[in-house]
Amino acid sequence: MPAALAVKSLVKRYGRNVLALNGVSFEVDKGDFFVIIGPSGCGKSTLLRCVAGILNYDGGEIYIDGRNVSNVPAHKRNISYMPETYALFPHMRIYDNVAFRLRMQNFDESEIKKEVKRALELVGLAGFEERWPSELSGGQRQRVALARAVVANPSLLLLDEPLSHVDYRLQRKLMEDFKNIHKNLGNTWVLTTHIQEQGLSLADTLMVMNVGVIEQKGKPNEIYESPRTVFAARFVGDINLYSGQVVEQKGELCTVKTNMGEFKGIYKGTGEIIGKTVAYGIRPNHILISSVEERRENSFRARLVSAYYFGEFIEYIFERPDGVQVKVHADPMPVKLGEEYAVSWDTIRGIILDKPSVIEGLNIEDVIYGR
Amino acid sequence: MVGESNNMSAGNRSESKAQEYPLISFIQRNIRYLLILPPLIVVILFLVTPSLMILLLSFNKGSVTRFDPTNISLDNFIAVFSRPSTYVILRDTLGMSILAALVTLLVAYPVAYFISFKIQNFQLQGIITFMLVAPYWVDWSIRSISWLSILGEKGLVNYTLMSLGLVNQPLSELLFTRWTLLIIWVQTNLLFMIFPIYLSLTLIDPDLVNVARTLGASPFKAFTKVTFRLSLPGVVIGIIFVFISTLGDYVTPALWAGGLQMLGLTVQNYAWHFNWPMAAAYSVLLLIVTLGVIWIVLRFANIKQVFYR
Repeated sequence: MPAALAVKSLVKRYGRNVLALNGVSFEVDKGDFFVIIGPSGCGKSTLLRCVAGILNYDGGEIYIDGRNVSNVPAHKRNISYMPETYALFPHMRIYDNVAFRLRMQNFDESEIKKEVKRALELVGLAGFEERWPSELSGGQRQRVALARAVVANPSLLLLDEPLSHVDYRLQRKLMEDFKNIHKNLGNTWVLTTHIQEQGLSLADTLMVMNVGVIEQKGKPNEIYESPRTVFAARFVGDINLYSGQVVEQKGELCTVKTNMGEFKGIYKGTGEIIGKTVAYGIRPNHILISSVEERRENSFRARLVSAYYFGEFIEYIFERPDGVQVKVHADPMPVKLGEEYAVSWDTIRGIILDKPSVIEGLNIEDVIYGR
Repeated sequence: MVGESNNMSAGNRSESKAQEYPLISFIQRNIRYLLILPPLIVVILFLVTPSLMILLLSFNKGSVTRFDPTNISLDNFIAVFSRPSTYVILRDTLGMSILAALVTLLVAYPVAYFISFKIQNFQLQGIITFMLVAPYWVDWSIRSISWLSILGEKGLVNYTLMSLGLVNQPLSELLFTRWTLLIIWVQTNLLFMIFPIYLSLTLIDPDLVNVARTLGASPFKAFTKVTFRLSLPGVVIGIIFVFISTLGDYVTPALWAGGLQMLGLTVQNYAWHFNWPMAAAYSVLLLIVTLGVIWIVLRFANIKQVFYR
């Protein structure tokens, strides 16, 4: 079975100097819920627009359901594209907005009526047919845009930042709805986001993009637990990162010598990294706080300097005498600002990364410390 | 809404001051009415009053120059409507105006579309806009006479056609026919069609067209269903501009139309011969025709939907 979408060495330039896509290649399986995550300006929207056929590109090929669409115009690709602004037709009622694709395909009016009703029911907006887009709230507009995109069930749905313009509570609700509608329809969805939580919780497959390149593609938990690059590790969740030299390598288990002492962790890559400068990462929710020094492999003492209340957890910031800070996410604890505590973590939680990014020529320490 | 709230806050801040100075407080309370007062005075003085004077004069008989209330009759209008020539004039005036509006639209739309969608460079947009405006800096009469060197017997058009061997002798129909009038009207009105269309095109979110395309609309369908539909406000305004400036025009027809009688020209003829009441009657007819045309355009374009956002 051919992939629902296959992109091969796609290159897109804006003007002479900006390389928006630098030879991007990936495949999306049929029926997948595929999320592209990356900072703004990384090229994810450009990628989506190239696939949609509304933006020309400078090199590479795009296959939809095994068909090379490089020379197929947008209206013959059997896809739907939903831009960040939703782009509802302001001069059409909701009914006519949703009916647009059906009208273009010359369905007869009784069929159109049925399909529009079905699509609006699917997004929970039955009875909104006669309204104008300007009369709807942001969330409702988005649902209409989704109904318009899924009507007549195109094989591939491309959603650009679909959840960026709704408030947090609605985001959660829409995320669940998206997953349900996707399950209902069974077609392939590709959507972009810059919000890590959306990416992790929505995706069947997650792809992390950095300026014009793919950092990593995989299941959300794979990328969260075993990122391949510093960039990917940082983009899917909060992480403490320190640089150090590898002094011992036994299979996946490695020891890294940092300024704060030696830490043990897991290296998922292949090849010899002894002596190399690497990043040692530990996620804030994997760190334990205790008042007495425990005999653990990875621990040090540090003073609590600040605490931020997030509701479901508290972010504690600890600082060592040498100025190095560590961030810990934990439940509320009876700790006092200014006091010294021991922080520690399991070796299996230590993430060792030897690549700052798939982009070549970056200094790993510059990336770690954001220089 | 924004303006109002600004007013309110400004009012609150200077409340104590306002109490001290009754004039300031009066201005603050009535600022909206005060702001439209100057244009209102100008319009009443120079548009409404003369129009009413003409309307009154059209009910007088003979060669009077001032309204005479003792001499009221409908004779002028009976004369106007019983003359067969009136209907020929009406037909020619309306026909030429409609033709001018349509041709102007056909020429202007691609230009406006090109500037707003195909030229990304703002500097280039500015240069093209400048080139469009530049001819209007030349005095009307000079611009008018320059048509001689373009359409005349030894003018640019005939010279080109002759040297290309397309015609054997210069075309004489280029000057002093209704087609001359059409060409000149289109040229003089082009800018007033291009700008409103250009403005309404720049207001269109390009993603609307993109979405239409991915929803299965061919480029042509996407244009008619989305782009053109959303640019209708500009088109309607442009058409109204052309109608207003051509329906009453009498100078251009007098100079270039080769004896074609127009409504504006008829008004001028009677005024020239000091038959002011008849001139007034034809003016009233012109006014009714103009308002009627605008009314039809607005109805036809379904103004409420056109401006719906």
